[in-house]
Order: sequence, then structure tokens, then C-alpha cells
Amino acid sequence: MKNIKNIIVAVFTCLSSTLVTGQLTGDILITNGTVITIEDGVLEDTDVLIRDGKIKQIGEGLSFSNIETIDAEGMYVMPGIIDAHSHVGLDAVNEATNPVTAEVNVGDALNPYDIGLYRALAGGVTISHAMHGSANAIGGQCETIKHRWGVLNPEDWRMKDAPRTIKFALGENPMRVHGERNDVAPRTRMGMEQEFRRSFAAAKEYKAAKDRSAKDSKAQSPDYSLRLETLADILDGKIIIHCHSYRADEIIMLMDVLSDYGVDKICFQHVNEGFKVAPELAEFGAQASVFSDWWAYKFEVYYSTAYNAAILTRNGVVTSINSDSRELIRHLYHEAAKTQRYGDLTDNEALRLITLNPAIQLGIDKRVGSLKVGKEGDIAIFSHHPLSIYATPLYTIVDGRVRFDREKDAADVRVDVDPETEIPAFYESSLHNHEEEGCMQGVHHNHHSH
Amino acid sequence: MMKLQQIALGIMVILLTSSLRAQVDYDKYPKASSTYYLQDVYLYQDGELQSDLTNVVIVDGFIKDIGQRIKQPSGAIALKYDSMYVYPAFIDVLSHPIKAEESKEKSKVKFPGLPPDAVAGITPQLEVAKVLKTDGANFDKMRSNGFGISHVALDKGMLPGNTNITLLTSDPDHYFITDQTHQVFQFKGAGGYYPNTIIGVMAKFRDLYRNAELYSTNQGRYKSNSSGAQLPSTSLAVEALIPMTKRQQMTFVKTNKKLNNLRAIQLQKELGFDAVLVNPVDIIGIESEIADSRLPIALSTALPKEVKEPKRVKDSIYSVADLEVLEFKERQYKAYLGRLNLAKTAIQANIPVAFALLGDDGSDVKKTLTTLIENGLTEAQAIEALTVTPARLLKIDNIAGTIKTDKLSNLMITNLPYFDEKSQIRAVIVGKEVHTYEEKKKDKKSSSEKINPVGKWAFELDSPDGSNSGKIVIEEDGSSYTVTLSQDEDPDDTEVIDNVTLENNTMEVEFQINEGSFSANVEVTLNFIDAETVEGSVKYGDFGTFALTGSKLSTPE
Amino acid sequence: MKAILYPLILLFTITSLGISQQISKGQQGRFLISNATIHTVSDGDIKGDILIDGNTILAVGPALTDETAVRIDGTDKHIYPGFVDSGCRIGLAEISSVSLTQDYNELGTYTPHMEALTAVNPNSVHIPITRVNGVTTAFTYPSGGLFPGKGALIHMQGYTPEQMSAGFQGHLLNWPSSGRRHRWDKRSDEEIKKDQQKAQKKLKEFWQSVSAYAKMDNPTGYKPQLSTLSEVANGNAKLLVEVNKKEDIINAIKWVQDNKVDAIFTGVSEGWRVADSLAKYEIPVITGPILDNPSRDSDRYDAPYTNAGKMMAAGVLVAIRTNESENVRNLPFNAAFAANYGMGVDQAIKAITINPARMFGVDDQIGSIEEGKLANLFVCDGDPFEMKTRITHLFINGYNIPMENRQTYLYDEFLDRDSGNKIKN
Repeated sequence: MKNIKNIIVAVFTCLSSTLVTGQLTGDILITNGTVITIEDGVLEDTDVLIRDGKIKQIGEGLSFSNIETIDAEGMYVMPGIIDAHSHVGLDAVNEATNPVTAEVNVGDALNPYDIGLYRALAGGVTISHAMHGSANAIGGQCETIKHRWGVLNPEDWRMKDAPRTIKFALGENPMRVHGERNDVAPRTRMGMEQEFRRSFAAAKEYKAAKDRSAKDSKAQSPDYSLRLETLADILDGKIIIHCHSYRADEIIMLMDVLSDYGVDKICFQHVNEGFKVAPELAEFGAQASVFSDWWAYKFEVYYSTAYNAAILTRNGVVTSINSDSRELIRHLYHEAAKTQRYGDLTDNEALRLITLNPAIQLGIDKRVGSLKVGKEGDIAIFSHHPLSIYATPLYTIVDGRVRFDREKDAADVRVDVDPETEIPAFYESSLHNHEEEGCMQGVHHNHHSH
Repeated sequence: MMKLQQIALGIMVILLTSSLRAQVDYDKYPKASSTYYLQDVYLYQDGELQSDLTNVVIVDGFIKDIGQRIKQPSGAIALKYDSMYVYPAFIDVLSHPIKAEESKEKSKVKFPGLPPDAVAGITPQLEVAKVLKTDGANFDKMRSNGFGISHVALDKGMLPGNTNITLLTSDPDHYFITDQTHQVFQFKGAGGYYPNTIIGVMAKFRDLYRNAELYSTNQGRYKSNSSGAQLPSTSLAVEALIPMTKRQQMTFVKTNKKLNNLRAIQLQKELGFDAVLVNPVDIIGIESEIADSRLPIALSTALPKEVKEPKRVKDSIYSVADLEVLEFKERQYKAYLGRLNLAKTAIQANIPVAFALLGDDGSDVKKTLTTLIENGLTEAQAIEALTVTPARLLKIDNIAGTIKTDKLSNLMITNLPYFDEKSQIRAVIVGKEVHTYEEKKKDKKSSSEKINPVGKWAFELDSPDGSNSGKIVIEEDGSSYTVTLSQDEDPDDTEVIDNVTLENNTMEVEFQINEGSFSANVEVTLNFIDAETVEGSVKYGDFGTFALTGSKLSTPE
Repeated sequence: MKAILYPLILLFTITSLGISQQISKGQQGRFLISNATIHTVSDGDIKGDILIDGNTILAVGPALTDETAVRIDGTDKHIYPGFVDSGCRIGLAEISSVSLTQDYNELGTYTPHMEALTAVNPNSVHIPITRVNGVTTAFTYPSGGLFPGKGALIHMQGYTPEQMSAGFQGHLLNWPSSGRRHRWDKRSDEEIKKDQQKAQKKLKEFWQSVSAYAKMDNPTGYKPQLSTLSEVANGNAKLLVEVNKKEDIINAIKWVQDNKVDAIFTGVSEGWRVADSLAKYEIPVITGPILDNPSRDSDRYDAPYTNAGKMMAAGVLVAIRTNESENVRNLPFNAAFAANYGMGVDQAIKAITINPARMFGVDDQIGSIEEGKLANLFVCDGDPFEMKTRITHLFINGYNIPMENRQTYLYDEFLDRDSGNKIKN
């Protein structure tokens, strides 16, 4: 009796010491792999040395004493995959009560115990952009996270000093949530435009009123508003906009509004009809983060094409492929490969869609997204070329620490076990409606059963 | 921190005003005295029971004197608890004696994004003291379990209102011992209105807090220079948070979830209020974050449902599926142990620990503490978590939490040391009131009594295709048993089994069923509860295990 | 009022736009594909030629000649039998969020008399988009309720549902689940158990009626729910049972045995836990999607990838489905993941060709490249599972299908779009 108890406690302690440690960075040497650098070509039989979480050296015959080493002979070593659109690891996704909720921040709802994060790692994904949902015209601020599975404090999942980002949304989702269901504007794409104009104008007035009260002691300062503060930060270029969008007309509309307010940091998300206005996107300098082949799950994506990423890329738009799904995030390398069937992208173009390009869109391309000396040691190692259907992710490394190891990891890797649950729940299936598990999470199930 | 005199003054004011408005009650009679004398008792002081007997004098609800040589004052009532044990009565860190009422305003709200504060659950200006209605029954219950002081709060919405600290007396006029109030904050959405989710709640809290700071400044500025100036904004809710921002009130954050502890810490770091994490549920692996934040925790006195330790014999005897289930059970048990270790873990990490009843009446407290002590908490730490620490968290450590002269007479008296298995609470003194409890005789329950299973039993089986009923006939032949099973659907189709064991009123019956190409091993477990009742389960190979209940039909002569 | 009109307006828009983007016609005739590697599936890989005439494969072998046939040079190319998705909603669902474009979920618990073939839209935009990835045939099925109706095996070509029909219709049963529906299912364990028991009782009672009806010599009255299932009760037709959780699978096996039902299990996401039982009772399985999340938080991350291979290894006849509405075109990649995680390429190909053909009793027509079988095949320049591979020719029912669809048209139109008139701002 006592004995077994002790063993269990011992196992637990042992588990916590290997998994749950405060150490976020590490040292590792990866030898003899085919190294796909993204920016400097593909290097055969090459080693990568990571020290204290950063890439120290890339070259042949590197050595270092007393260092964890992965023999990657016959394997493919690429930068960790970056997902520019995810909702995995969040306890709340939509504050769907108001069409404008710039003040909320999904970083407050990070849940590093969500098993979906480990499964993303098992697909080579080292960084995801945890986003607010698409229920609101101006949704909440988002969080760029590093997939440090086993680290229990959400604070340590944030990618420190990554630029601030915020979710906007156009079209059917906000129109359905507010216009159709709650009977408040916006109900149309015309109304959508006015939500942005009204909000930006209010932020400008707020800033002016604050300035006035700072100068004039008789003037009262306006009530503090985290919402208007955030909107003002957008106007000041301190926050990158990531806008859920589908149709060509609404994409043009938002670029017009942003032009009027001098805002230029924008990445359109999903943007299924981006290919129709690719030259306009390129001219504005807007970016696009798209699905590889999702379409027809609602009317505004009926006239989509799986060639979207290729057309955008060929027109000079910085494009990424994202998941917006607990499932797709498991195989973004496969999603990127679809651009070779649908549009003949080269290997490097296709891999950029899930590495350097999403890094650019999140403003972290100086730190991650390619294998370069000085960059952070985020790496995915595959059995075959990552664009081959036979590619199996073998190791995923974040900041020099192995966070996924196909051989060594236990089957059950949960970090938060409920003492009230004996056998973990069985789920019949993932939902058929794509958006309910993605950016419309928490909207449908709150209001009516499906 | 308040001076003792001020508190005494406060109490006097409360007494005075209440006696003025009190109606004449013809059923009341005067007490013989409000001076009490405890002779030859063991006091719990400085973290342990003192080894010498001593005497205590209580006057008007305060401890007047302690000492071996103190004699019974004239006019004092002698309390007969010779050689018993006196502890500071327990202090509860948060309770909800009042049920929240549903807001009627909701139906009128046109725009869910901008509801009135009451609908949004933002009512920090409400005062629990003004709405505290209780028939006293819950207070009686808490008191009988050793509690003398409770911190009462409303429970509706993210900021339900001001709290109060009450003496658990039977006299509503004497509930409140201090005008120190606190605030409660919880991660509770407004159910379809803004803020609906945790991200909304956190954003709204920041907004309110920053405005409370701003209003305080602006109103000050206006007062000092009002001629020709714009009027500052006002808001009941925002202004009610000003004391929080000035750290005149503690914020009791009901976290109710592991991750919410870290969210509370994040808000606290950003904004800088004084906080207690109430019902943190689980802190394993995040102890250092909590310790670094210097926020105390108040654990729920309720423990998770008991998890039995799974027994692993030898890996080789398990099928893959069984091994997986066993591993689940081990992980579950580990998580359960983690909860039992919570208080110990926290204290080892230098996190102050107290307890909150959160609506419970405290009847589980001794059992909970005993379990925690079995898992490494010391008795002294347990008592501290119910006395000294909560007094400090509530900012009443100057008047409560320990047995010292000039402190409130807030005492629990037990016949044996509290943690002795056979100890009973014999009296709880709250202020001027002495509540006594009769010695309880243990009712004899002989669980070891052998139940005769022989006879005919009717059973119901809870299976996936509805309920199945049937009969079990148990026959004894010397030392072995034979079981005959039949189902009511087809009573002639019987199964006679002699693979039967009986131990401690539990019978195990095992047999094989073969239907065409289909076969399965069946294990029936029968726990005889008493002569008339049986409960158990039936395990059909891999198909699953189903619950069985039954009663005796007849016993052979 | 407006709300009522809205979906109608959508429908009009869809139809009118559809007409303007019509796919060019496929042609039947005589075709000789020469000098290719033919992956027959039934008889290994051979180097040679295929002669197609009308809707039939006339000959397979080395050095075939035919003066009249249109010649297709297969040098360095590969030929595979058309892929079969053994479970999806193609033709029954056009736009997922627009309910009036969805024809797969009729009201009611007992609707076994609903027939998918009635509602298959031969002009669905999904069809051309799907088939260019080599998916020539699909079992499209209704869902919802206990007995949702009959699914239909259809070819991705034809002007009427009848022309599309591949000669198999299968009755469906949704086995009452004891699991959670999905991650957001908020029911308590107790409620789930109650719901499941209620459904189980319904199944028991309904099946008693079906069996009683099936035994009658001269049943009277119009009772389509019962009459349609008589053939299943009498053992003359298959029943596809959707069942996923371990305990449910075991119970379903028992039910199938007790009632002597000729069953195919579908879904079977926890089949790997009970693969031996499935093999022992010789129950064929249609599983998928392979590209899915594990069923439990505690499962190994690759459980859905390895499930098909594990069942196959235990001796179960396995077919793979997408269970998709929109992206049935991803069938080959689902099979490829199964292949990569233990099933092997040859078996994975079988799981989307001959295995479903066998299960559906149409292996004399499709599922492999053999003389006399339907000309359902495609020509490609490499491994059909690899994304880089190009499918160059596609035959369904002998029709040489153009490799185009609305998505390729949009590509052609917008890849090098002109910049348009500059409007001065």
C-alpha cells in the first residue's frame, strides 16, 4: 500500500523534473541532416548547433562536447512550422456580445494544458498565432505563442516581445452574430464598413480629449477606456491587424478605410477571394494567410479555389497557409504541399508558406521562420521531405529543447489530469462544420444547440 | 490596521444603534452575567496545546485574563470544562449565506454589448451587511463545527459586492465585529451579455480598476479646483472600487480553476491590489508562480471524491487494454494525491494557506483536515490555516485568531485534542455567547457483521438496452456456494455456477457465456449490504460493466 | 419575410452562375492508353496498354493495337483504377451553412426509407472538383436519427442520378453512442448514459417491429419504414452501422450477431482497441477520415492515422472514407496517411479501390483494372498519393473526362488578371 504510493509519487516527481521545468531554452546538436534553410537553400549532410536556445552554427562536421545530439542522417531538418491562425490552447475565443471588443485579449485565456497544442507540435508546429474569433468586426487582441508543451504557466508560452496583433472580421460571421441574431448593426457589408469608421473616429476623439485634459486642468479627462486605448494603438501603428475576410469587395473596403486612417499593417486571414484582388493586395502591401483547400462551408466561400495561395504568391503577396483548426494544425506541411498540386509552387515557395511568410505576418521574421545563425532554435525534423505525403514528423524542437519526440513520448501526455475522471472522455468526432471548431468557437454552442 | 480601541468603539456604535431600533421582545430575559470563567483547561497557543492547565476570564465578549492563578471573579459564570482543550474558534475566509437573486432587468436589455452594470454582474457597491438575511440555521451549523467567524459575501457576477466579517452568534444585532469590508472578484461572465467570457471579464476588470483610480484623482482635482471646471464622471460601481485600488480592501478572487490562479496573479501584477486566491483547486506545478506573487490562498474545505489506490500486480498479467485503464487510474490517483498534498505543497512553498467554506457548513472540516494531515500537513499548520492565517487575511488579526488577552472570545472547546479520532466539540464561545454541545454517543455500527447470503434474491441490472431484471438463488453446501442465475424475460434459461467465492460479505461469481459464435467471460460481484439488500456489478468481458441492485425474496428454513 | 426569401435568392444566384461556367463535355469512345505502368490492384503492376471501348475496359496487356482507338501515350505514366470514397455527402450538400442546400438529413428518428440517390445533384459544383484527384466513385449517404436512410454508391459522372448510380445502395444505422458528441458536448455522464439507453431501447423496439414485419407472409398497409428494412432483417441486404467507441463497437457486434444482420461498420474510430473482435466476427469496416483528431485526450496523437492499418493487420477488411462534404477530393491523402502510418501503400490503395468494391458487392464492375470491368481509371505521372503528381487523364464510365472545374477556371482567369481600370480616388 505505502509502497505503491511511494512509487507513484516518485514517478510523478520524475515526470515533473523532465517535463515541467522552468528552463525554456536548451542546447542541442542535430547532425548530418538535409537542412532546408528557406533563405539559404537546401544543405545536404549538414549539422545545426543550438546553444541556449539560439542557432549557433550551421555547417558540416560540427561537434560539441556533452550535448544532446540527434543523428538526423536521412532526415529533413526545417524551421519549426508557424501557424498564423489558430484557436488551440484558448479557454475563450469569442467575446461575441459586442461588434467591437478591441479591449479583450485572448492572451488572458491561454490554456497550455490543451492537448491540441501537443498534437500541433507532433505536426512540426512550434509557433501559433492564438487568435480571437470572428464574431466581431473588431474582435480581441491575439497572442503569438511558442509551443512549450509541459510548461504549466501560460506566461511562459507567450513569445516574449512578439508584436501585438488584433483580430478583425468581415462578412457573414459578424453579420450573423450581431445583425441576424442580436438584431443590432451591422447586418450588411455596408454596416460593417461603418463599424470600423465609427470606431477609429471614436479613438481619435478619445486621444484628443486626453490631450486636452493633460493641458487644461479645468478639462476633465475622458473615462479610461481600454477599448479606445487599443483602437488608438492601432491608429498609431502599434498593432498588426489580422482580418478574417472572404469576399473581394470587403477586402477592398477595409483597405480603403485603413488608407483613410493611415494604417498599413494588415494581414488578411482566410481571404478566400484574395486571388480575385491579388494586384490590389500587393499594391497596398497587405498580406494573406489562407486555407489550402477549404471552400463551400458557407456561401461567401462558394466561389473559392484551391489555387488561391499560388495566385497570391505569383502576384507578389506575402502569403501563408494556416489551420484555424485543431485538425489541420496537425499537418500544415501537407497543406502547404497542396500548393504544388494546385498551382505548381516550388518546394521553397511552398515551405515559405508555413515558415518565413507567417513569421513576416506576425512580425517575428527576424527571430524565426528560417534556419540562420542567430535565429531562435525552433526546428522540425521529418523522415522524408516535408512536402512528401510520406513525411513523418520525428522531432519538434522549440528554443533548443525537444518538445516532441515520436519515439520517446508516451501515448498519454496530458499535463492536467482531473482526479474526478477515471477514463478520459470519448468524443464521437470532430465537427463537420469547420468554423465551429475554429473561429466561431463558443458562439453557436452558447446560444443554441447544434 | 485598526486599533483595538477603534474596534471597540465600532462595536459600541453598532450596539447602540441596534438597541435603539430594536423592538421590545417579551420572550427575552436577561443573562445572569456576561463574565465567564474557564477553569483548568489546556489552551492552544503559539502553535501547540500547552501542557499546563490554566484559567481564562471572559468579559463582555473579550478575553480579559489568562493565567494559572487567576481566580473566578465575582459575578462570573463558571464554565465546567475541566481538563478540556480550548482552541481559537475557526475563521472561515469566504462564505455565501445568501442566494443570489436573478436580475429582472435582463429582459429589457436591447443591446447585449452594453448592459446595465447589474446585468453585467458588476455591483461592487452592494453591501452584504444590508441584505444579510439568515434564519441563523446555517450559522448554527457552522458554529457547531467549530467556526466562530465567517467572512460573508454575495455571489452574483464578477464583482458581487462588499463583504462583511460576522461573528457566528445567534443574535443578528451582533453579527458584525468590524467595519472592515472587502471585495470579491470572480471570473464569471454575464451569461450572454458583456462581459460574457473570461477575456471579457478580465478586460472589464482592468477598465473598471483604471477608472476607479482615475475617478479618485479627478474627484480630488475637482474638489480642490472646482470653479469653472468640468464635472468629473461618477459611477456607483466604479467609485465602490476606489478602496480596492488604495489597498484599503482586500480582493478575494474566487479562482475555482487552476489556470485562473495565474490569471488573477497577472491582473494583480498589472494593477497592484491586495488579493487572496480563493478555491484555487489545484496549484501543483505552479507553486513558485503563486509564491512569487506573494498572494495567499484559501482552500475549499471540500475534497474531491475519494479515489482508491489502483493496485498493479505484475505488468505481464494485464492485457493492453487493461493496462491502459490501469494507467489511467494511476494518473487519476496521482492527481488525487496532488489535491491531498495541496496544503502541504503550498506551505512548503511559503504560500500562506487558509480555508474557505464557500457555502458549506463545515461538517467536513475535521475529515478534510485529517486527510490532509495523513498526507503530510502538520496539525499545527492545519490549525493555523483555520485561525491565525485567516485572521490576518481578513485584517482582523488584532482581535481574532489566537487566544490572547484583549482579543475576542472566539473559542472552541473539545473533550480531547481536536485531532484525536474520538474528540468532540463541547462548546463554542462566540463573543458573549456560549454554545454548548452534548456529548455524542457513538452509534454502534458493526460493519464486520456477517450477512447470510443464502436464499433467493431479485435483482435489477442497469444495462445499455434498458433495465434487466432477474433472480439469483444462492445455496450453501458446507463451505462452498452455488449460484443459480435467471432472467425474468426467460426464467427457464438458468445458469448454474459453482465458481463462487465469498469474503467479507462480497461474493464473486464467474462464468462463461456462449451464444453461437459469441462468447464472453462474465464476472458478477455481489456486495451484501444487509440481510435484505445487495449491490454489485456485472462485467461482461470487454462489453462493459453494469450496476446491479437487488433485494432478498426469501431465506430457506 | 426577408429571411424566408434569402435562401431562395442564394439558390437562384448559384444556378445562374453555374451555367456560365459549364465544364466541357466528356466523351465516350475507343481509347488506347499505351506503354504505361498499370497498377491493376487485382493482379499486381504490369507494363502495358489498356483498351477502352464504350464504358468498358476491353483489354489489358502488353502491346495492344487498335487502329480506330484514340491513342494516349502512357510512357512514364501510371494507371490506377478510380478511387472510391466509401462514405461522404457529395451531391447531397452544396453549401454547409445554407440549410436549404443540404439534402442529407431528413426529420425523424426512423427514416430508413429515405434514399440518397433521389437527392443527388448531378450538377453539383463539387463533382468536377472532386474527380480530378482520381476519385471516380463515392458512397454518399444521409445522416441524422437512428435510421437515416439509404446511401448510394455513385460515379462522378452522369446527367441523372440513375446514370450516376454504381449499382449499390446501403441501409444505415447510427448506433446509439455512449460517448460525447464532440468537445463541446456539455451533457453530464449521467445524461449521456440516459440518452444512450433511451436510444438503445428505441433501436430494440423498432427492430422487433422490423423483424416481425419481415417474417409476415402478406404484410398489409403502406409501412415504408418497415418494408424497406425487411431485406436487412431477412439477411438479403447490408446494413452500414455507424459506430465508433470501443464499448459501442462491442455491443454492436453482439447486436449484429444476435439479429443475424449482414453488417459493415463505419467510422470505427476506436476499432484499433477491438480489432481482434472485428476480425473474429468478420465484420468489414469503413473508417475515416484518417486526417482527424484522436477520440480521447489520452490517445496517442497518431491514433487516427494508425487505426486503419491496425485493423487491417488484425485481419479486418478495411475501406477508407473521407466523411466529407466539401473536400472529398482529399480521399487519396487520407489513404496516404494510413499508408504512411502502418498500412502500407498497396493496402491503402486497396482500401480505396477493391476493398469497398467488395464490401458493396460491385467488385465485378469496379475497384481494379481488369478486362470487362467498367472503365473507371486515371492516368498520372507518378505516385497518386504525392501532391506533386499530376493526373493527366481520367475516365469514368468510359467517358474521357476533361481535367477542369470551376476552381481551375478561376485559376486560369485570375492568375494573370489585368489590373483593370484605374479609378481615380
